[in-house]
Amino acid sequence: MWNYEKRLQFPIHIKNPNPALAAMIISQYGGPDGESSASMRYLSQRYSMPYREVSGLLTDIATEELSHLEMVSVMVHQLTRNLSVDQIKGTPFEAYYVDHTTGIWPQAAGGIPFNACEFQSKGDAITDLVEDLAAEQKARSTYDNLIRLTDDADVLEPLRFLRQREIVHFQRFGEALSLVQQRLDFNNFYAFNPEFDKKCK
Amino acid sequence: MKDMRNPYMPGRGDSCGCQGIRPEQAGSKNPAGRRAGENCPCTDRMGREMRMPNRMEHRLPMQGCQENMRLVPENRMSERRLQSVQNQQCNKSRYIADVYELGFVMVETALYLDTHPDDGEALAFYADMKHQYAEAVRLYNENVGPLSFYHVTNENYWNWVATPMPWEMEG
Repeated sequence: MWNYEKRLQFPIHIKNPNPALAAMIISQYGGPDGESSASMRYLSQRYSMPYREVSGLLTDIATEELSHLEMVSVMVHQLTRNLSVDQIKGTPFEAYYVDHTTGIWPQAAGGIPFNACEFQSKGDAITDLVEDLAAEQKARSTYDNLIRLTDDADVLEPLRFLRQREIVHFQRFGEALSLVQQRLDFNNFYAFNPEFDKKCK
Repeated sequence: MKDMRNPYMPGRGDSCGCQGIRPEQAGSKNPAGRRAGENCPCTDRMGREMRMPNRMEHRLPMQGCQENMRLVPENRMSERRLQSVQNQQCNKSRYIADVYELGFVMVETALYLDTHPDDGEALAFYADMKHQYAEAVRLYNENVGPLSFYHVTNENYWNWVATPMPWEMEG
């Protein structure tokens, strides 16, 4: 189960609103490579994992991703504080504002709403861990792209922190994949799916 | 809170994405924040990756707040009182920073231990950090506000909904 700790994982205090930037950063909330996607992916994959180190890792990283989706939402919220309509008109934020005013709703920068097609939970230990490695790199690339879009130090600090976390997660998933492969037949780790073919173990 | 800078030093693994960011580099377009060829501080002298989170690296500097405040050696009560209030504010910032830093170290250590459950050095580090983190949480709950609703101490009012939410800037 989950408890909530009433703080952010990393402090965020953005002094200058910027709705155009908010419309981009929201991709890390509801986009295909964002934190919601990561969290739901890892939470879904953990149940059928055959090894506790891996299901433990998936649980813990998924929980951290929840704190990250909170951080991204906070960034979008602070970037869209106290706006006048003139600050919104003509920016990429305008369409989002029509549907959500300055409320927070999970969508990609391109407008696609968050959905489960953006992640997979395949029920095969190797497949799922390789998916997770890719997910962390996709998130890292997205943070690279966002970091290029702004010079505001208040925004850059949390973005860089989040980017760094993606790389650390990538490292951990690599270790988990290696652990799984060592416990399967090292010469043929595709011989069976440890999550399904119990008879073969 | 708004004076906190990001000293969160990196990371492990390379292409570790180590930022090695110093405040004067904030705003740099290069996501890695380093010039090409510059050594990644994640690796120690012998080029091994730093595996363990280091508490001191993650220390958030408290600007405008001296680390070792001493009582003003004056006899005037008003000055003592002012100094005491300033101490409290300074301490409050320190309690907040401690929870952030130690909480982060706990998360980082837990993830590492998930894939290295028999690493003795990491286990000893975790045990040490656990005590410091628990102390930081206690001081935060007593002096700043409740971190979770399992530890609300104000008996006259449900403080949980009285303290600011983490995204508020007006406080």
